[in-house]
Amino acid sequence: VPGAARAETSLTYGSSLPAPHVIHEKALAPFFERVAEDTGGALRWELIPGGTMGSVKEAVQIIEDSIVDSGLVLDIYTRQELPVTSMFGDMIALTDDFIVFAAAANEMQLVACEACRTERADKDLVSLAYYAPDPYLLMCADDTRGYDDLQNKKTRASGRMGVLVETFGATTVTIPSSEVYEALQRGQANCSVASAAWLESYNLSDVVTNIIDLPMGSYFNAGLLYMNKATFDGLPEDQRAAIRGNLAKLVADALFAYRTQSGEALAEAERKGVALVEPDPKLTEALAEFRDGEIANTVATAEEAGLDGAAERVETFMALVDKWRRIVAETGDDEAAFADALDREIFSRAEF
Amino acid sequence: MRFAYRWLNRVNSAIVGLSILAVVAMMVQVSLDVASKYLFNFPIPLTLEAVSHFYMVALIFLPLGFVTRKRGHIGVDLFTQKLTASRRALFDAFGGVLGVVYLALLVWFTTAEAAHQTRIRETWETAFGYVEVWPARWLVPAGCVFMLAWLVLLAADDLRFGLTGRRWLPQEGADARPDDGAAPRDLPPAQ
Amino acid sequence: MDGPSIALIAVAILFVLLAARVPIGIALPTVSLGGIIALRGTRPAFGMLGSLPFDFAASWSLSAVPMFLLMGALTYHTGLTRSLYAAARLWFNPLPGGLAVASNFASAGFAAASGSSLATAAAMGRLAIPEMLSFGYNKGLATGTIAASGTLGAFIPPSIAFVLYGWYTQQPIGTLLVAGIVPGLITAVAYTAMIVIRCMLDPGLAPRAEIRGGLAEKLAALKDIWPLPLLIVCIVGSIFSGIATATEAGALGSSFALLIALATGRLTRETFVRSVMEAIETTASIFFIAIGAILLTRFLAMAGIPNLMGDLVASWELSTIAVILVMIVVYLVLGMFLDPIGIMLLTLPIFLPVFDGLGLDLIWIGVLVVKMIEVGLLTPPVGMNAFVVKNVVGDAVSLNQIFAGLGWFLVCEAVVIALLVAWPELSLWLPGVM
Ligand code: NA
Ligand code: NA
Repeated sequence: VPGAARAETSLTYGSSLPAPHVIHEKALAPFFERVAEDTGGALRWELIPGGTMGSVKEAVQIIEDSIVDSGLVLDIYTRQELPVTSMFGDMIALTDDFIVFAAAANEMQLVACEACRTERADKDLVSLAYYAPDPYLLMCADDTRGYDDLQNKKTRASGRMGVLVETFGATTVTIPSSEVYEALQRGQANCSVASAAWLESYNLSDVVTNIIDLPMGSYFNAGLLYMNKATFDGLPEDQRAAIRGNLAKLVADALFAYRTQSGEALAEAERKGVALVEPDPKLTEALAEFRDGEIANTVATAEEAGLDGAAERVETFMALVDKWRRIVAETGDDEAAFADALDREIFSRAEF
Repeated sequence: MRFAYRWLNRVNSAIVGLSILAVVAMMVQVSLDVASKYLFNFPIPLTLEAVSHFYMVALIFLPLGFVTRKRGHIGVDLFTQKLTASRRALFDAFGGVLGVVYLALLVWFTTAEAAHQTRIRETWETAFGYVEVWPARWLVPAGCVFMLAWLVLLAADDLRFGLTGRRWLPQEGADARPDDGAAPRDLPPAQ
Repeated sequence: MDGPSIALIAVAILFVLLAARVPIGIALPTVSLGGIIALRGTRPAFGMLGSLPFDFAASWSLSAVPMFLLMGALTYHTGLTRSLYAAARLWFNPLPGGLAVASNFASAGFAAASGSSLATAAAMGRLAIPEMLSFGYNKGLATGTIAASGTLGAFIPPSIAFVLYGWYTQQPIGTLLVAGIVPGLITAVAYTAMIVIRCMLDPGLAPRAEIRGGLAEKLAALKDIWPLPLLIVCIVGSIFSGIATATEAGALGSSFALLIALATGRLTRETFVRSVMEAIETTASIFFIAIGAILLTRFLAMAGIPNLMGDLVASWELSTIAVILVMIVVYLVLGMFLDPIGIMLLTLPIFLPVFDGLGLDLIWIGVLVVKMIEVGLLTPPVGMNAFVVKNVVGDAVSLNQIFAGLGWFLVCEAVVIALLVAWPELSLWLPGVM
C-alpha cells in the first residue's frame, strides 16, 4: 500500500442472531476478514450480535436510520416496508432444496427484479446477498411417526408452515421458539416444525423422539447483508469492489455451513437415540398437493396487497429455480464451483 | 390549572378503565386458551398475538399518565431527603422539565412511527393468515401524551411551590409521605 | 471526542441526575439519547425512540410480569394471605426472624412457578411484606428479604434468564436450568442463616409475639390457610404437568386466585379494582424504566464499550481466576445501572470468546452470569427488584431503607459467589447425575 493517507472505514453489522451462530462464524466473520484483507485493512466490520442494536422487527429501520451501517434482514418482518422484495417469502413451503432456492432468490433480488431494487433504494437500503437456512422438519416428542399419527396433534408452527401442518390434520399451536423446548418437554405441543440446528441450539434432541425426514420449507429469501445506501455509495470504489468480489463466497459459505451443520445435528441426534423416520406416502402426497396451491396463493396474496405484476415475478422466479436446479446438479458438493457459478450468474452482473 | 387538572382527571379515569379491560382480557383469554388447548385440543386463535401486540402495549403505556399523577415514578431520594419541601420541589421541577422534553420527543416520534405503520398497514403473519396489527402502535403515543400532560402540570406546580411556597394543585401520592409504616398503599384516588 | 469518552461523561451525568431526584425512567433515556446524538446525530436517536417502546412492550414472554403481579395483588387484597401469616406467626414464632425465614422459603416455592425474579418479588412482596410489617418487623429486613429472595426466581426452574443465556451462548437450556437448582438452594440457605443470626443478635429486628399458642391452637390455625398452598400447588402443578407454560401460568394463577376468592366469598368489586390497578401501575412504571435501560445498552454498544472491554481483557493475558474476577467486577458495576437483558447483550459478546479460549465450562459460567445479573437486581441505584418491592409497599418504606436492608443479603451473595467460583461442582454436579 502506498504511503498516501487513506481513510480507514469501520462499519457495524447488526444481527438479531446469537453471537456463536453459524451464519456469523462460518459466513460473515470470514467475509469481513477477506474484505479487510482485500482493502489492505482500510475497510473493517464490527459485528454486534444478539439484537443489541434492535430486534429482528426493527432491522430495516436501524439500517435506514444509520443506527447500524449494515445488518441481517428477515423478509417475514418486512412485508409492509419492502412488499415486492418480501412477496417471495410466501413460497417457503416450495423449498425442496434450500440451496437452489437461495441461489434463485439472490438472482431474483439482485438481477432480475428492478422493482425490488428501487423499492429498497427508496428506503435508503441496498441489499447485497441472500441466504436460506436449512429446511424445516417435523419433530415430535411422542410416538408420532407419520400422517395418521399426526391427526389432531398439537404442532408448533407459524406462517405458511402452520397452514401446512393444518392440512396434514394437525392442530397448529403458536409458541415462541424460545419456549419450544419447554413446550415439547411438558406436552403443550406434541410436535414442532423446526430446523435441525435447533436440535442443538434449543437442545431439542433431549426431548424429541422422532424426526420425520421430509424438508417442508425454508425461509430462502432472508437478507444476509443489507446496507445503508448512503453509506455504501459513500465508500471508495475499491472498497465496494472488494465487497462485491467476496459476496459469492459469503453466500456459498452460509449455505454449505448450514448444510454441514444440519447433517451433523441430525447424525448427533440419531446417536442420542432420536429416530429419523422416512416420510410415509400420505404425508409426501399431502405436501405435494399443498405445494401445488402455493404459487397461486402467493400471487393472490400479493395482488390483494395491491402489488402489480406479481404473477410475472413469480413466474420469473420459478424459471430461476429451474435454472439453479440444473447448475446445482452440476456443481454438487463442490463449494468453490458453486461460488463461481453465483459470481458468474449474479454478483458480477448485479447493480447495487 | 385547576381546569386542566379536573379535565385530565376525567380522561384519566377513562384511560384507566381501558387498561383494566386490557389486563382482565389478557387474564381471561390466556386462561381460556390454556383450558381449551388442554381439554378440547383447540387453542383460542391469535392469543399470543393479542397478548403481545395489544394487551401488553395497552397496559404498559396507557397508565403512564396515571402513574405520573400519583408521582409513582421511582427515583433516588438519598441525597435530597434532608432538604426542605420547597427545595425538593425545585429539584422535582427540574426532573419534570427533563421529563417533558423526553415525553414530547416520545410522543412526536412514536406518533410518526404509528402513522408510518398505519400507512403501510403493518401486518403479522400468523398461522391463520395475515392480521393487521397497526392499531396497537397508536396506544404508545396515546399513553405518552397523557404522561406528558401530567408532567407539564406537575412541573409547573412544583416550580410555583419551590419559588412561592404555594401550590395550585391538591397533593396526592408520594409527596404527602405518611412515613409511619402503617397502611401499605392507599386506594388509588379519584376512581 | 471518541466513543468511550462520551460514554464516561454520560455515565457521570447519569449519576448527577439520579442524585438530583430525576426519576430513573427519565434520567436513563436523557443521557442515552444525549450520548447517541453526540455519537451519531439525531436520526439514529430519534429513529430508535419511535420504534423501541412498542417493540419492547410487545412481548409474549414479559406478559408473565403483569400476570404474576395481579395474582399477588389479588391474593393480598382478598385476604388470602392473612390467615397463612397468622398460622406462620404461631408456628415460626420460636425461630428468630421466623416470618422472614418463612417468606424466604415461600419465595423459593413460588420461584418454582415463576420464570422471573421480578415476578417472584412482585407476587411475594404483595403476600409477605405487609404481614411482616404489621408484626413489627424491621422495614429493611422485611423488604430486603423479599427483594433478595425474589432472585431465586431465576435459579429454580423455569427461568427466563437461563433461557436467554442458553439461546445466546447456544448451550443446552435444560442442562442450564438443572445447573441452577443447587446454587439457588444454597442461596436460600445462606439467606436463612443470615436472617436467623441477625435476629438472634438483635431481637428488635423481628419482635416475637407474646402469645404462646398451644399445639391445639397451632393446628386450628392451619385449617384456614388452605387457599394459598392450593394456589401455589395449582400453579406449580399446571406447569409441571404440562398444562401451561411459565408465561401462561401467570394468567392461570390470577384466574385461580380470583376463583378461590370468589369461592370463599372474599371478592368485592373494590378489592378487584384495587388489585388490578396495582398490577397495572407497577407494570407501567417498571417497563418505563426498562425502556430507558435498553436505550442505555444501545448507547454503550454504539460507543464501542464492548469492543474496548474485550481488547482490554485480551491485552492483560489474565489467568482463569483473574478473568472470572474481572467478569464479576464488570457485572457488579454494570449491574448497578442496567437491566439483566441489557447486561447479557452487552457483555456476552465480550466474555464468551475469552471463556471459550480458556476452555471454561459454559454451563458453570452461565450459573455465575445469572447469579451476577441477579445481584444487579439488588444493587443501587438501579435495582429492579428493590423497585418492584418499593412499588408494592408504596410510601410505607423508603427506597433507602430497602437498599439498606439489602446490604446484608449482598454479603450473603458474596459468600455464595465465592463458593460457586471455588467449587464448580456445586453447579455441575446435578446436571451430571441427571
Ligand atoms: Na423460576
Ligand atoms: Na442494580
